[in-house]
Amino acid sequence: MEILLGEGELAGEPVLRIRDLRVGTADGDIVRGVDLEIARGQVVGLVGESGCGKTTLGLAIAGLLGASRRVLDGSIAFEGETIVDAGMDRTQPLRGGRIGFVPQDPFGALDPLRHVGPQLARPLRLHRGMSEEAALDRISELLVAVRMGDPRAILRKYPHELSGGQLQRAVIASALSTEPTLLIADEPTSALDVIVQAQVLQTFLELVREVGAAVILVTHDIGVVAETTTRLATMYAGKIVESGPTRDLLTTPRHPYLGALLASLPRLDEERERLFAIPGRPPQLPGLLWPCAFAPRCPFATRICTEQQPEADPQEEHGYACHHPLDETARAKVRA
Amino acid sequence: MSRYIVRRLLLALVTLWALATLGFLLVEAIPGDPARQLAGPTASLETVEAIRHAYGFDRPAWDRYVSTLERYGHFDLGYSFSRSENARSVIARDVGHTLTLTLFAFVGELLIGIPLAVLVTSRKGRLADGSLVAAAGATTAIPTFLVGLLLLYVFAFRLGWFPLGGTTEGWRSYVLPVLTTAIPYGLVLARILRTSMLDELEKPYVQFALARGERMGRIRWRNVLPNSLVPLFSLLALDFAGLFASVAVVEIVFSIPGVGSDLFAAIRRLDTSLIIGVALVAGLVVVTVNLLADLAVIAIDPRVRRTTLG
Amino acid sequence: MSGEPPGAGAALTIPETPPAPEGAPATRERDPPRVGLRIGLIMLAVIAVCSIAAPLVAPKDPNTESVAGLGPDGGPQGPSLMWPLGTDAKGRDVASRLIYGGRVTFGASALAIAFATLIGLAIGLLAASSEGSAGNVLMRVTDIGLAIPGLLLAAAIASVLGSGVTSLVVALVAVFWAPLARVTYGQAVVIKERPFVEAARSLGAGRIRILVLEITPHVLPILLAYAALSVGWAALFESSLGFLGLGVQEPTSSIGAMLGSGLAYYRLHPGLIIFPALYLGLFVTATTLIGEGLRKPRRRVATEQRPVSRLEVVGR
Repeated sequence: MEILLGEGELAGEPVLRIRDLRVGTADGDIVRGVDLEIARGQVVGLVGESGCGKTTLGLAIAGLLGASRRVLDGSIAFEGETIVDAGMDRTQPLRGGRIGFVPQDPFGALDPLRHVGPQLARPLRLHRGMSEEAALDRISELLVAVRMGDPRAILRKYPHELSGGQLQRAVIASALSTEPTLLIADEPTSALDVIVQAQVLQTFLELVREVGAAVILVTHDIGVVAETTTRLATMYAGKIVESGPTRDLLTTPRHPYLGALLASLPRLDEERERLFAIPGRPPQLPGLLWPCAFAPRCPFATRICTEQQPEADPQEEHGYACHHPLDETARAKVRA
Repeated sequence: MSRYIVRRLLLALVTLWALATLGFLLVEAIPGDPARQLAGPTASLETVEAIRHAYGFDRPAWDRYVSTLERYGHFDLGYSFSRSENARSVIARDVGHTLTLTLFAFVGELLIGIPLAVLVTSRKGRLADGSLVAAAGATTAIPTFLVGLLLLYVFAFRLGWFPLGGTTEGWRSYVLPVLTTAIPYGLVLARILRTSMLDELEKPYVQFALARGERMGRIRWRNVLPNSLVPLFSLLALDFAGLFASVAVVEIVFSIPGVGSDLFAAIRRLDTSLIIGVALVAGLVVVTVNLLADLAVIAIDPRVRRTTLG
Repeated sequence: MSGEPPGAGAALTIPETPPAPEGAPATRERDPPRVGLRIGLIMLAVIAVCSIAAPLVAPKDPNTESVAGLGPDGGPQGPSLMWPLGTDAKGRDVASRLIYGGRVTFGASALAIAFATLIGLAIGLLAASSEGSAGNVLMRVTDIGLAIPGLLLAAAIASVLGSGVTSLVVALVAVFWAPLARVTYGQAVVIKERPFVEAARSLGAGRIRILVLEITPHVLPILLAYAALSVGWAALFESSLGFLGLGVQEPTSSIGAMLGSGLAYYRLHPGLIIFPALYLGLFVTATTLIGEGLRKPRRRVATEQRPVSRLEVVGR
């Protein structure tokens, strides 16, 4: 796997600081205490299986949780100011302007009864006060910049008249048109064919770099993460279990979960008779969990894993929450 | 586009033809002497014979059928003995009242149903939801004319705000009859629309619109409502037809001279020309409204446009 | 990875879910009780008993005209000890007429809808399962059936068949078969596309067998819900017919007939209208509760990974 280091990773005040965030329903927690910091220009991947809470986390940041889920504890601060905590949600004025959002399914994301153009131009109109014409012009420019032909024609069409890839690229352009400081991308390529994915990712990266936005890229696809992110966090059962620079995590994973995920990727350079899959299933959230939620599926689990919750060391750049982090021998065993 | 319209018009014609045929068969099926039936019990023997000849009852059935269809084609609906004039002129005179009532009732239904549905689906409106279901259930558990009688009793008889019937007081005469049908239909529409909207609100485009910075209120009216209404168009067309029938009964309660009261008077006297005449007009209205509803869906939903017209 | 623990005694087998702590609530999995449905069934049961056992329940004979029952002005009288709900214009006991009338109205409605459902089911299934234009034609006919205004059709049938319970039932069937056929068709067409139907077909099942064994069980729930609602609507319809002087004739009483004849006196004796209306309202509410209750899907999560075709189970 090629790991591309992101250019333009700027230091400074964190754009986003999440402290101890808990999100859930009346039945229980889904996000069970998450700490995360994102600096300017960083592209951070958030990886996990379905149901691990990564999407809920992304939605919570954008203030899009909906009626059934609420922030129960903790806080989210954007550019130094708290925008979300258990008592309040001040994300509305930021949404579309300084915080952008790219959805998973571009077709579902647009009103099927209206043309694509006006919908994509809304952020510019709402947050930059542009007229409809000017906004459409600007979006067209962006589409041209990412080599989508005849942008005006595209904007005049209805959502179902465009292909998935075209639509998603246009949606990405729209999300970045207001030059947001933070962009949350919720599985932006999961609904697309693999071939189209590459195109869309390229568009994504180009625009992100041009705007200099910080990005949270939520995905279950390690391949995507390897190509696009500079930092990576893996989530399991509502908690971040490992985080750090992407290259470090992918070459020397410390948490058995990531180790197992990587071992399950089919490789062309190895001979194997059976594909490896992690035994068992991820726990359903909300639900009852062991202190280390991964313990039932972990080959290295011992008694302590059922009694004490592992915590990551905040000082380490490559942090992991595990009582039995992987070393070389373990990694080899996992790979065998 | 035109191919589709042509097909639908053909269907409409076929429906009307079926109605006419049904009417013919029913006249044939009435026991007794059809000429006497048409002439009425008090007509003289000569009149009866004249009618027998004019309507071809002295000819084979097929001939009669063809000439009947011909007559209908020329909008000649026959002679109404109970009103002593052509059925056509009776209907032409009275259909205006009925259509006015139906149209206003339809508008009323929308004005009641849509805002209620929007209200009930908003966050603050959750309490009203239960009352809506109860109210809709209550008003549809009793027949329409009872609703009318109730309104009449309270607002006209007791409070005297509106006239007791007739069309003499201009717009005030129409208020109670319109409300009689608009309220039950409106409440039911609110329930169905509410369900449709709740489904739509779960859809991702709502979330994405919020993500762009839109406010929920605007999304509800501009995006959710139109999308929720589209699947209901054929239902609304049926509603219109239902309203038309309900209005007919309401006309009797409020003594409004529309084709509804004409129809029921005709039924009592077995005035078949008038009965069939009104039936055909009613069928025409229903068919037209269905066609309009289908066209409306095509006009509004671009996805349907593509599948239907290619 | 081989899946074996790396060191002796170093690893454990840990169950998927930890044990619930003391006092934790039990699992939340339960079927919510369908309250509305139960209430509706109880109401319907009561009405049904009254109707079927009418001779036992009614205080008097419904058709006995009695001068004693009339009020001082020779007209109907309000509720009193002898006549619990009052009398009508001919001195007949309202309560008894109500019970017998209910028997006519509700019984005719139920019977008519039963027939209409059978007809609608047959036609809908036939239309859905036929390839090509035959199905189309059937549905066009149904559309026409839907387009004809009901009261008109009923009136026409009444004028041909005369009045009486039979013509009432026939009229009701004629009005209500079309929507039931349409509901069946709509459901069947969707179910037809489901994988298990295709599975049955590829196992060699004939068309009829597929219809009966595979499709019908999935159509029935919605159809029955709609049929339940229709029974209530049929009763309402009968009341309109009666109000207009159609349907059953004197001296037989039906809800509609009572409403029709009570109209003239309703200002002074609103009971003549109110009591039949209430009884009718109870019936319609009961059928609506039942119909709506049947319509709501059960909370049991039906994972439709691969619904097994009945043929596979039977081991054709």
